[in-house]
Amino acid sequence: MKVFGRFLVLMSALALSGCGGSGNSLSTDGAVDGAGGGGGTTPLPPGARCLHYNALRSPFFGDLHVHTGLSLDANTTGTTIRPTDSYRYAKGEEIGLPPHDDQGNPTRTSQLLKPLDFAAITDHVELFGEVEVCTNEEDYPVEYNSPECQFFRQSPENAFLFFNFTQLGLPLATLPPEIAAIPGVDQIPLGGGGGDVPRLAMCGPQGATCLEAAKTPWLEIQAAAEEHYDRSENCEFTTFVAYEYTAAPRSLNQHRNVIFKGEVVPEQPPAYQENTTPVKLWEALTDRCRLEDGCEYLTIPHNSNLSGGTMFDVPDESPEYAATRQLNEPLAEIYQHKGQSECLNTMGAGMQDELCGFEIVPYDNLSGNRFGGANAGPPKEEDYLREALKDGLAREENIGVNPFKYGLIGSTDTHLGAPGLDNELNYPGHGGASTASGDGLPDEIEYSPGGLAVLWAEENTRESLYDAMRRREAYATSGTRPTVRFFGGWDIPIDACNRPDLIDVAYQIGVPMGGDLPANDDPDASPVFVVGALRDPGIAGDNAQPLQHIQIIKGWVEGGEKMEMVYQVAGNPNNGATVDTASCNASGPGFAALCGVWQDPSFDPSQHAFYYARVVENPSCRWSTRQCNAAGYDEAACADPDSVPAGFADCCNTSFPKTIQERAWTSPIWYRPAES
Amino acid sequence: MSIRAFWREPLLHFLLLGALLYLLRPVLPEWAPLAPTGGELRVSVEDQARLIRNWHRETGRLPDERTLQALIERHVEGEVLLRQALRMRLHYNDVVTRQRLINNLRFLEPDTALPDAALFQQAVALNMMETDLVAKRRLIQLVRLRIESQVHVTEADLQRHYRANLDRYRHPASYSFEQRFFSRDRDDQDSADVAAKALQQLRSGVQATDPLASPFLHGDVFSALPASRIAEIFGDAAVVSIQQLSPGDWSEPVASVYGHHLFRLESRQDERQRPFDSVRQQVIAEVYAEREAAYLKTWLKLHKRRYRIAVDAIPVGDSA
Repeated sequence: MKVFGRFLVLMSALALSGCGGSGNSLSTDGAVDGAGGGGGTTPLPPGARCLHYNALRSPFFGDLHVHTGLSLDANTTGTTIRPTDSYRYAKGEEIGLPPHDDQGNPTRTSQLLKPLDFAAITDHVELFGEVEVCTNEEDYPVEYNSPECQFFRQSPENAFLFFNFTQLGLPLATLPPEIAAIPGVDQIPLGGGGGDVPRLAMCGPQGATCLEAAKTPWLEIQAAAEEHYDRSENCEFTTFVAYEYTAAPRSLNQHRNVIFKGEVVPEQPPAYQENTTPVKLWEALTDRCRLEDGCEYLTIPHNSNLSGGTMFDVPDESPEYAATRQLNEPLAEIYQHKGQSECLNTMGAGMQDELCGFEIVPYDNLSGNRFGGANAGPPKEEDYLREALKDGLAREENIGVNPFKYGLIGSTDTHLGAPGLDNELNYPGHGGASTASGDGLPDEIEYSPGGLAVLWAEENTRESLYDAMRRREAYATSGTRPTVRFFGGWDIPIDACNRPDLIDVAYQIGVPMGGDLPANDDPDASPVFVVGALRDPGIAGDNAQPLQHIQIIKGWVEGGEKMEMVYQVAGNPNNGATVDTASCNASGPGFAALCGVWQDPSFDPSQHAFYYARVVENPSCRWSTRQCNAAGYDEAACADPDSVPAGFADCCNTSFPKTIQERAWTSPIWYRPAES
Repeated sequence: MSIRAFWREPLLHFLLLGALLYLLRPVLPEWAPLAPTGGELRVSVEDQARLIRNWHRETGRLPDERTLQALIERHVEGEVLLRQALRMRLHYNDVVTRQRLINNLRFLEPDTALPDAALFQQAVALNMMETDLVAKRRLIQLVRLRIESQVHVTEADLQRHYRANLDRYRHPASYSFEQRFFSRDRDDQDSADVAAKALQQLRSGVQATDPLASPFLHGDVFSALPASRIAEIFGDAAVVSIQQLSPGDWSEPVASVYGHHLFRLESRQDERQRPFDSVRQQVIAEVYAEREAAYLKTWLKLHKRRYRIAVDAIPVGDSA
């Protein structure tokens, strides 16, 4: 009966939004039962725990930004992986990549070295958004006159290609939300009756209703998520029903991934063309995804580095807007395929933070790598999260609410349908799928394999992971898998790193990453932080490096001015570890585990502040260095640039580093002065 | 009527053939037999050059012969599906495609006063559903879904699939245990020595707070972890050690990348078969995926026969 209830929930969600008519879903229980042959899964009873339940929480590694063949920009570049295949990949199975030969066998395969614990397929949901923007001068006067729209109108045929094949502005997808993709009853072929089993048992009487509807993309995404979510007591893998909201007026990235907590989701996911601003998106989601129906969601902005100064611009200065934003967006994606969004190192104290040079994409919007850069400017500091976090403090000081209270995650943004494919080794590019080097680099030189989202949760279930996202107990990695804990409090013992009961104590007297320091009446008190990291233990075929050092980054507001400081907390940034860029062999000492306790030496209880930790590994070769070397276009070959073919020209581009230092960024811990 | 005349009776032949077809119906695809009436489906040199260009852009390399054949095959299949979609007039029925085509026309003539229906007819007359890539992809997807939706699966199919793939539906053995961690990165101690000292204390029943140990970020108590997970956290040596422990016993110090560990096994849960009911949804999805892929493949194989498929030879020395 429990399973049965689950399907009723799913059907209720469908009925809520009109699938197969309305109002009759609850009367279909006989059909479900009949269709299901009286069987069902045996999920965890409500309130029951997974076998691996850990009250002190475990780190779960996942990818919350994945495109499959259902995203048209992925589809048109040859990705035919469907969501179900994508989840199989995340779980560690080998998948075939296109094209397939005449026997139907894939010509390439791929497999993760280590499976993920969770994933969300976030296909683009829009189809016509850009079209509307470019043709409706009345509503979009600025966008209508943008270079892209003029190009679009002057040369629609080429512009279609342009919009469809590139990621400029609005990548296109298959399901425009203003149009019900659910066919009328008269369009549904009869089938499924008698002894047949309807797909996922969520169609109507005799298993016939919604038969086709269940195959439309949005329902295909839901069905795949349902299929691969392990509801047994083993809780081995979690999926989230999700999609990407793809707003990018004038190529200025406003994209958000929308993650739903459970299987109850809107039938029509709100998209850009009907919700042209994030505020409208949240309004539509609030309207269509109601808590009383069992629906919950959050949105995760990504690639603020490519937003041309708009991601952290606010439409108004009201506390209401700030509260809405904070409520809807507990997390931001700090790292992915298209670079990092932590800090730019161009102004203020950030100029002294040389680690800000990591994986910078050298332009400020989604089309920056086209038109010879004529359509983009240099990256902007205000597009980076550290600046936004500081700006949030300043705004909180003024209006009482922080609109930019972001926890941090990473993900891949793969367009191969390959979640977690984040290794610098054998990187196939996230737009293609090659595993062999050939006559060119497989991706733009400024791009990278992307990162991961890590969530501290009691167990690997949707509820537990979603709650972790909500409370921001999350961190980002640049692709490797270090384990990182970060706690803050007023009474964290100075010897915390030597106490075996550190975790227990820290939860009792402190707050974990993503939390708020509680108020403190003692004017002389200063908060103490403990940060610990275990290196990625690595696996055969991997290239994980030991840890080098840990820093805590403090941001605060002083006399209205936004300030920041980077503190060394553990390890040694000058440990002498190096990597030979010719052989990519790493050498030098490093740490398997690091732990540090740090007390803010200049704490002022009247100043709004945040603190986050950055864990840095020893250097290793960047993906491009490995592939340039393998193809024979190393530094020696670059002495004669004319001998290097065009596809490998970037091997000699000295604007991009040969090495990287993989890293993790924790969500911040915030301090807010008591109301005066 | 003689027996011979009886067997020569055309009506009988008709009836017998009909009966045979009726009997074979469950195993014959509904579209068979098909005549090659679909006309020519030509893959021009330009088409192939485009396929090669796209492949090069996606992967950074030129396709080898096998890959090129696969790309051409995929292109042909897409065209076959598109023509089927147009034959089924899906562009008339699908609101998404319809809206797309109308919007195209509004681009071409932003000031047009024509109603949607007229614009749609214009787009169809211009054959835009074959030239607009979004509409084309949409139609191909729709027809593929319709074809696949013809697949039906019975309860017996599910049971058969489950029994044939029992290995897929097993819970691995798992272990509940606690551990103590001795960091090799603590300056003041050698982790192996300290672990050995701590082991002595534990075995002698000393219940102190165990100050010798370091905090371990994953915690000290683990419930029902399979071997693969233990290996991910502690390394392979830990798996071997834990598997050999008797419940209640502490292990000898076990080295990991982080230092040394002591393990005490709480309980072991043996590998077990997951009952059908608990994996039913997975089985349904797998059977459908398998059947749909096979059905689509057969469908494409049969429908390709409707066309005279001509792949133009790329002139020697020509390159994309």
